[in-house]
Amino acid sequence: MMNYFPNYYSIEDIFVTQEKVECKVNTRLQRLGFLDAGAETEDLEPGRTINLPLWYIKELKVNNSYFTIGVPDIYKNVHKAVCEAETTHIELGRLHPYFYEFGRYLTPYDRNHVIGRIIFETLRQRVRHLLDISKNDGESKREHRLDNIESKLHEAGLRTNTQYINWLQMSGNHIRISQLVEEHQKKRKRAERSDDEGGDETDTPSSKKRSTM
Amino acid sequence: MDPSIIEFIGEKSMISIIPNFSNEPLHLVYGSVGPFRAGFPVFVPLWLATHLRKQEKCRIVPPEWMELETLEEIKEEEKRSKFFTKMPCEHYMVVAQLVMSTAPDDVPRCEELRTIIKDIFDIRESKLRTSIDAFIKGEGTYAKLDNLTLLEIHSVRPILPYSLDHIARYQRMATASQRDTSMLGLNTTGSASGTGSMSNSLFTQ
Repeated sequence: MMNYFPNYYSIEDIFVTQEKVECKVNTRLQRLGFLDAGAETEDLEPGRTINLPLWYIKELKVNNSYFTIGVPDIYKNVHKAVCEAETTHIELGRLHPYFYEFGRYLTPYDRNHVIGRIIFETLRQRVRHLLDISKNDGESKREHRLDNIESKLHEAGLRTNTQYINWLQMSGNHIRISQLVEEHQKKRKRAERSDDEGGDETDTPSSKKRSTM
Repeated sequence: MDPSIIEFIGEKSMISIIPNFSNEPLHLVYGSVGPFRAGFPVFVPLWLATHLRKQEKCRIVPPEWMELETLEEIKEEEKRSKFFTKMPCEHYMVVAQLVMSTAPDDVPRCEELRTIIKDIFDIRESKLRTSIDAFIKGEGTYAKLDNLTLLEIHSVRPILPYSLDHIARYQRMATASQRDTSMLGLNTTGSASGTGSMSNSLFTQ
């Protein structure tokens, strides 16, 4: 229901790791010139900036000698200042749809240790807001306000709230049969039906006769 | 957990009824109830009470706390107190909801009671959200919430544990990255000592 431990097959994790990150080349990389669209040389020269996908970068060591990973603008100090003032008004979804997860991957590459703290603090500040908007679903229309993880939390909160309201009005939710029992019943019914069909076969000619008459 | 399951659990609480029939004791899986004698009050589980009431075989005696003055006091107490006060019944919402919907005629001033019970629930719920907020923003590593009822806990589940999971993940990431680089000697001594205290709080969480 809530896939919050990203794994190889989780689609959110694939989306996040597709994101491009700006890197500065530090050493001459032979025959990798094709990575830089604007390069004329066959080799990748030091000092150039290229965009590499996160799934590639995250396999590199933090202090590798080839690239310096640049911190995306959204996490820069300016935004940190904004975040510390009033986080609930930021439209996180517009900044980045996977604000937290993207930040989490980039945390080790940030020498100033800002990203890690930003995402931690931002979520910490915004949980109250999430709890509040889950109580009245009128605000859910503003799509861009929430990051992917937040909107999932919000959905979970809304679901709880609708269940509670339905219960108060005594409508809708009844205790359902457990899945195991349901499966068992289905299986039994199916078995019975196939038995019936076996027995019916002798009857069918007579019923056909009746219909023709 | 669905509210209907909480209702199911709450239905086990005992309530007094006055039957209008006489019968031998009923032997149920969890114990016996009865004997029933017409006109004499007897304690039965709530589910049986509502069932009999729907067939008009009994009258439900509202529990002692289901009274305007008592509830008014509880409401004031709840407003005054910083903590959650003890409720007269562990499933007060479920009992109130079931009794008042199946037998509104058996409860005097039913509508007023309904409003005040809803008020109490709302006060407690907003108190819960405020204390959750204080807990998350504060430095504490655990929180103790006494006297909460199941339905109140339900109102913040599963969103609260999910959010705490996420927060813990990001905190772990932030501290881990700080520790890694401080071990490489890239960090100043000042922030290295900060890491020590933060990892401490990580373990206690």
